Amino acid sequence: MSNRFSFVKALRLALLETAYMVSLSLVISIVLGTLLGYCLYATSNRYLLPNRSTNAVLGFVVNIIRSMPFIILLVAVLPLSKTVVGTMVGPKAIILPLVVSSTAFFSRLSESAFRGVNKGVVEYALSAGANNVQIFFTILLPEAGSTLLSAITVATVALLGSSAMAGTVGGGGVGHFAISYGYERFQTRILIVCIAILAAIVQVIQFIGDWAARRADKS
Amino acid sequence: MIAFRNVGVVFETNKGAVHAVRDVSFTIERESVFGIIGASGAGKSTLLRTINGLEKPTSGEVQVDGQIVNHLSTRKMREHREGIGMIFQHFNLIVSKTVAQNIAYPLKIAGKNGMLIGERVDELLKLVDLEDKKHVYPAKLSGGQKQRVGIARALANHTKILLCDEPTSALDAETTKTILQLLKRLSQELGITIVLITHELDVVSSICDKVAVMSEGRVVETGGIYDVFTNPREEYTKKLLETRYDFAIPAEALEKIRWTNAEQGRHWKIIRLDYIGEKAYEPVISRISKQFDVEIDVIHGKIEYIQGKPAGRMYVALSGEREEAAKTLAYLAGQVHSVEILYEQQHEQQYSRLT
Repeated sequence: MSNRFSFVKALRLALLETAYMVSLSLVISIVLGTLLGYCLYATSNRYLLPNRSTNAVLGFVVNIIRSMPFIILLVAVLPLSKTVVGTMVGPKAIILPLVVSSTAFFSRLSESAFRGVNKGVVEYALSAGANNVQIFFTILLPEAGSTLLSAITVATVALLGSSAMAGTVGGGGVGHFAISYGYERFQTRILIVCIAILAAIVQVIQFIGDWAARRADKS
Repeated sequence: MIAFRNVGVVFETNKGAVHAVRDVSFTIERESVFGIIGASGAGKSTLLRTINGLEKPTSGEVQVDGQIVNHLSTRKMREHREGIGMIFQHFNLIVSKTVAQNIAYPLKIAGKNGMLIGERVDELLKLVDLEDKKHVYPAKLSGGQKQRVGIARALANHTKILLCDEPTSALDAETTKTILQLLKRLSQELGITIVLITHELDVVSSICDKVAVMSEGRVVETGGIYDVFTNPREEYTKKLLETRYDFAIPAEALEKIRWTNAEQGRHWKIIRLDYIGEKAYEPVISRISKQFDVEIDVIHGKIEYIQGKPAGRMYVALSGEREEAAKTLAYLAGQVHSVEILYEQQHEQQYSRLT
């Protein structure tokens, strides 16, 4: 009885840790990723901030990060967590590699969302006297809105996956829980419960994301 | 007034420099409707965009109301653009915003007061007759309605110049007419200057006062619309305008004319008449049939009205005695702008020219 009680308690804690890691790094990486995506887009657009070399450097850096499997990125970036957040273990420490990986991922997603915006509308806004900041907030974000919401859904699910991997280096969360109980202690039932929970979470995220994207699509 | 002085625009591409606009000089008077025609790739779009600074001239200068546009600071350029509206072939409406929000857009980014914006939007909706579409998203509008939103939006800032980039090329004939009428009405009522680029000759002839003809980046001819259309000086303009009267007389029709005349043993020819100006009002055809002992039969033709003045071309079959026909021709020469004999009974080899 007490065994079951502690299991539920541990699972709840794991879920909270996952929620903490995913939500915090999601918010940070969406903001940073959108900005980086805008930079990638604007530096290749002859009307906005055309700059071929900046575009090439940014693109190169993003590609480097994106080319690393997350588990490698994790161990490479984790030492930096010590200086940034003061610790190398626990959910807090994991946030840095999660943000780095997710920002790079989201920058490409948002860049392609911005590219999907009708160039003519950007040209119109310029002809009406809009500056780059206004074009970002009043044209690119709303016009790419639906695509960006779909991109956020994809990024959230990806983050959930990465956060589970982060459990192996002491990040905590559902992934860590599933591995330590289900894999290392051969408690298959716990493993199945974790899989079911993760599957349910992903379904809910996808459902909400699709609904929001549909709502934002006025075309 | 908009003045181009030796304007050139060169694009650097991977394949080398592309001269989109070469040494263009002309002026556009205030409150006129000015058309720029030419084939696609002639540089019309690029030239148009130098007026609001979307394209920068690489040589020469563009002046708008005395101000040189080439090298305005970012802030000055924004102010300059706020005074110039622009509409596009594919409308370029903001699809995530309603009709009202689209029209309010230029006012919002110019930092206008919210209440004033509301009033102005209602005013503009009325101006383009779209009051019932206020809260509709662009996806639900027809092409003509979209362009009217585009026009309302372009005029929102009480703009005095309206740049039109192929404004009717994506519209059907009927809608094209209503949009052109709207533009014409607005230019008269609001006293705005309209600069319009198009490859459609009918668009230019129906609303423009003056026209510039562009080919391969150069302006080859400018002038009053009626003069250029009825009396083009440059070879390129002639060729371009000729497409309006690109008539082919069916071989069957010619054959019939030949046979009926041959049967009756009459002399006959086919003539092309070009009408211009006041003379186009004269009832030439009916007078001929009264004054001369010939038969005259209209087989093809088109008369159009440019700025209310007629201009056109007609193909007629003339048959009768040789002498009467000669007299008729002499009379015709004095009555119309030009007469050309395209096919005569004796010259059967020219027969192919008309088919």
